[in-house]
Amino acid sequence: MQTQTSTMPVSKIYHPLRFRRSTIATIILTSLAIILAVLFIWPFLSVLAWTLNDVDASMNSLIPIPGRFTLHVYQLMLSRYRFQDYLLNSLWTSIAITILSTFASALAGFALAKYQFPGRNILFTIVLAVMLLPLGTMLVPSFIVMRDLGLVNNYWGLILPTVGGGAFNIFLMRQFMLGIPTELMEAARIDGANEFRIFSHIVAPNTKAAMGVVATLVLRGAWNNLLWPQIIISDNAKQLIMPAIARVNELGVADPYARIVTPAAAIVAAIIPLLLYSYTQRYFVSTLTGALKS
Amino acid sequence: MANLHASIPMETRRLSPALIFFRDQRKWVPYLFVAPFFITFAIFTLYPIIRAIVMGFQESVGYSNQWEWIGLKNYVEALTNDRQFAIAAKNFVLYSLGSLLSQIPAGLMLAWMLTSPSLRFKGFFRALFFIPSVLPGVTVGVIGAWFFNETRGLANELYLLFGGAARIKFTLYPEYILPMLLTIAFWQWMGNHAIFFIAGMSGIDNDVIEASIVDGASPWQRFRFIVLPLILPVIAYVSIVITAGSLTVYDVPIIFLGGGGVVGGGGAGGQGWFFLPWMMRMAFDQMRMGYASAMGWLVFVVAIAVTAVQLKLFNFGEAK
Repeated sequence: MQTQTSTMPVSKIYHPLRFRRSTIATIILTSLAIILAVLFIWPFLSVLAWTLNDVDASMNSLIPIPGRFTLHVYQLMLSRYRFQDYLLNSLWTSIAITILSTFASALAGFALAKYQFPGRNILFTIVLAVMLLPLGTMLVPSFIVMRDLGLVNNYWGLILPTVGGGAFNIFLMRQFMLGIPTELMEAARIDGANEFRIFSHIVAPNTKAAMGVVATLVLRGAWNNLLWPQIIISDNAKQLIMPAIARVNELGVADPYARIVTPAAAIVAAIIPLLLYSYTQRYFVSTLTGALKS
Repeated sequence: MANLHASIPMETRRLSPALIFFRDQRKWVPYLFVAPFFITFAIFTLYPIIRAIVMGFQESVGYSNQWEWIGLKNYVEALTNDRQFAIAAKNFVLYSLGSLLSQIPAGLMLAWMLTSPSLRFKGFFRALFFIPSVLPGVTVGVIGAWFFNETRGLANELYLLFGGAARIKFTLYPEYILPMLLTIAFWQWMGNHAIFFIAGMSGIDNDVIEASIVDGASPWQRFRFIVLPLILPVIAYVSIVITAGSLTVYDVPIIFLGGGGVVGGGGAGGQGWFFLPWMMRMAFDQMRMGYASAMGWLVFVVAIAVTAVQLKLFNFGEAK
């Protein structure tokens, strides 16, 4: 039931520190929020304006309006630095990872939530423990294993480790699946449905929202990932978007265009996570916090 | 369940146990469903962790797959004779403390502001302050680098606006590295923490607040004795995430310190090293895979210890 309280709209909640509701307080607080919000997005707007500014035109960073508007930097990004290739590489690997990983975590979450079987509690404890492991520290040995398996410079090296679904996603799925009525499954069994049919016809349609949330998280994680593709993909033409930006960024002084192409690419690369966020924003926060509380 | 077994005909009971197991889908299907996770976990997580134990006592010969035993040399070197590793350890401590002390209070204040009944456009503000935490680390690093840029950065423009004498090339000063990275992290994570705190506050009972107002409790007392105890588990979660995240910072410093032609990857004076960038430098630049694995193990153990200590601390706090 924990998850339900948290999905309740926060605006309806009585504010614990509430002072007398008055117009003055509203004006003060709202203008404070507006000032903070402006300060918050100003650095981003400033960078955006610089990428749209003609290289020769002057511009004041405080006023994020290009001195002379041009898309030249973005044209350079595509023609000279081939960023469309990196974007495409990232796009298809991220989508493959998302589909496989979401499916696997739904299956595992379903099994852990809705079946009684020997070893279930131990397996679930392992999933919880894996969530807490600082696996980022083990990337070098992981690389060695991938090298031994011949998965270096190979997109399978990015995809295969994720086909198990990931501990956190399994945990999220399990929390959702707990809410599916067992009677529904029993009824289907009496009607002669096998367990796979129960998953595809009862569980999956009832957990579309959960799968959406997990898919969003996986897609964002795969898309934003810098370090793992940097390690696994050594061929420049095969590289994904984030390592490609990091490489162009390091060209630094040696390449006069790199300095301005880097922020342009960084902004383009942010479009996908921003779109995902804007679509799922409402779900997202309530789901995450619901899982957190339980 | 008992009835179900009683209804199984006698012939079935005489069948071999294996056949009974496979006849009833419910017995083996759950294992099939969890198999992908545990198989990939075994190959891509557990095996590398075990392998790392062995590799920590070895060193690879160049990029080849030949390994020689060198005993405890890697660990001794990391702990006693590696300046960058020591800098990374120092930076971890300062970075995590700085993050905790800046982001948690600010997140609480932002949460307070965003739940106030006097605030208009709540949904809009909540969505907006959350945005930096969904951006790629690479984008955040680029925005940060731009912000502190000498000629184009907002930091310098603001400095001049408020009476600064001349532009500062911030990236040249080792002492500015951490404050700059902490500022970027603050921008990136504050809104995210605030959303978690808001969710924690949502469980608070109206009657308790009403009663406290009737009893004449000040806003501070209400915060201290009603709100704080209730969101303590959320604070615990956030601080564990912050500390664990500080152990594996990578994207932002790599971008932030990697551009602008500061040679060395560790920023000005080599003072900007963190664990992961240094491990990657050793492994893929110097081809010292064994050494990097040993460092990985040290950080792994520290991470688990720090998380355990925090869990303990916060449980203790709750028990009181």
